[in-house]
Amino acid sequence: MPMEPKIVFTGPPNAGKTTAIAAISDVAPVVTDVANHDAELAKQRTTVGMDYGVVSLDGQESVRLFGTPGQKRFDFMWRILVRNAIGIVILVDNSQPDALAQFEGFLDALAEELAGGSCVVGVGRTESHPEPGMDAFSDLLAGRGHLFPVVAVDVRRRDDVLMLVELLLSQAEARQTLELE
Amino acid sequence: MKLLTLSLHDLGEADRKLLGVFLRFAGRTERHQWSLSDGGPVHLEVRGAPDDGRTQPMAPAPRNAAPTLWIVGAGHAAPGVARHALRRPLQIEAFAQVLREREAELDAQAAPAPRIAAPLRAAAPMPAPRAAPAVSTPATIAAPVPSPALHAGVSAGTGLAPSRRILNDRATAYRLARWPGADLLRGKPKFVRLLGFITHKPLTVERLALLSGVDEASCLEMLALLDERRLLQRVEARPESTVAPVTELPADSTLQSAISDFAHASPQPGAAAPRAAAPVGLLQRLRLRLGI
Amino acid sequence: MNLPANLEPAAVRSAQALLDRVGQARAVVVATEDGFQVACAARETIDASRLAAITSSMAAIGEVVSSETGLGAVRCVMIEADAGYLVMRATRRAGMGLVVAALVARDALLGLVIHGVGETARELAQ
Repeated sequence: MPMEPKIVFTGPPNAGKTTAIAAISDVAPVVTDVANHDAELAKQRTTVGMDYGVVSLDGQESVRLFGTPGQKRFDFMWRILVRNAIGIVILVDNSQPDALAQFEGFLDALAEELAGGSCVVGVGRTESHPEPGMDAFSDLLAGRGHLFPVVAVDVRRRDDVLMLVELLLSQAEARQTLELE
Repeated sequence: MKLLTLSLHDLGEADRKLLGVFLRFAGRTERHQWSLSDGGPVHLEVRGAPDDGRTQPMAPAPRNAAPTLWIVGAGHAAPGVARHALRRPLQIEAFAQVLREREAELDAQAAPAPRIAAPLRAAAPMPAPRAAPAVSTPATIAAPVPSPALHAGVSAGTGLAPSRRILNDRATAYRLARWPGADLLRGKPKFVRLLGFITHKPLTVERLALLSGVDEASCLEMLALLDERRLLQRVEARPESTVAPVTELPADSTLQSAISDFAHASPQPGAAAPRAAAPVGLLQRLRLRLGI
Repeated sequence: MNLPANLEPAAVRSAQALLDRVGQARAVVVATEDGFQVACAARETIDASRLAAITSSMAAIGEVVSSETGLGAVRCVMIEADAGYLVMRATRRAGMGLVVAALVARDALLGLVIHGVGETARELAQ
């Protein structure tokens, strides 16, 4: 099945998926968020379907940006959305006490798609919450045989989100070149 | 750098082509460079043994004459007293071993190298100790300009190569052990591009430069930087055996890529099935559009 | 989770009533707009919490599709499949979004089911 022109942003709730897409989308992202009724989740609204943004290329083509819901109960959406994507951005909120465990949950749920795929991990809120450090996330990845970049980001900043995309593209392009040999 | 030559005799087109590929990838080390001779004395003669099923006794070689490497068919018994005989199907490891042994012999003799009349391919001289890009690569390679930002820990004025431990030879391949952090990645598109390649499989410096379009000098610097931060894995090819990886990497990935020009190598067993390629140019156009 | 007062018992009653009305219904679920199960009435074993999450996603995506296509306010979102239907309708009660979903067998009268789900949604709304 051919690679589809889309990049997927996933990760636990409140990690900034919707914000990241908004930072680089050509149009205001379409969001399927609703009021949040989960007292444990400190936010007013939460994505239940998907976020949708677009980067238009010249001509008719565009690359679609999808944001998945963060809660585990929507994991069926994760798997639908990440299929055949250029790459997966996993955003994590380091201010969460169980940030690593949440991260592991995504690695488990997306194990099949991550094998042989491109992925980058963006860790947010590290200025106020420097621990766990990036190495802790890299160790979890290495334990599962993954070699993906882990970087501290602020997804409100366009440059940081562009860096995440660039890290995805370098993996995807290299894979393309090597496979075409 | 010692320039050594070999000649091919009584060999068919297929053998010649294959040996040419072997030579390209195994014919150069830090101190020796082999090339095909177009005349005159050589350091090694490679001869195809007649296909008559008989063993070929090797005539004792006169002093300083080149030894003969016999290429024999799969069914042949090894030629009599010949130390050097390669049985088809030809394997690059065995060929590389012959070259290494001949180099060692020549070094031991410490004889002056025979005069070489216009070898077909000459390596550009390597000004020690700084590694300059000696191999001609496609036009996409930019002029080698070391990026100052990568000179962490190296005094820029000495002209010393950042790390003596990064070997630019056909036998040493490098793979990423762990990605560096954002501090090294921000604003370094060449570096990020290079990292994308060595995250997938071990590559020699030459292959990395060729595939990534990053000049060899910059590749060496970037690899040295990764090495300093312990982010690099080294994979060595030993002539007497298949590639023995330092870690549990696929056994002969370097050599597979080396001979893929000639024979279509199959993907490594156990590797994830290759994803389909993106629509042509999509990723590149996305880059342009986003300005990254 | 802070459900509006009396929602849960009302939802339980309504779900059961709809199940009783539609003989071919396998299950009726009432969920919050963000995918939590509020009530479930069923004739077979189902994973009600999973269905709650799924229907909330479907309803939200249905909203987007409707606005993108200029169809106006969404009434029902429906899936028709080989083995039956999933009919969903969103509503609000005390400022909270809800979704009523009926999972029914193929031989159900679709019109009846759509009407029934609509009725249940209206009952729960305030």
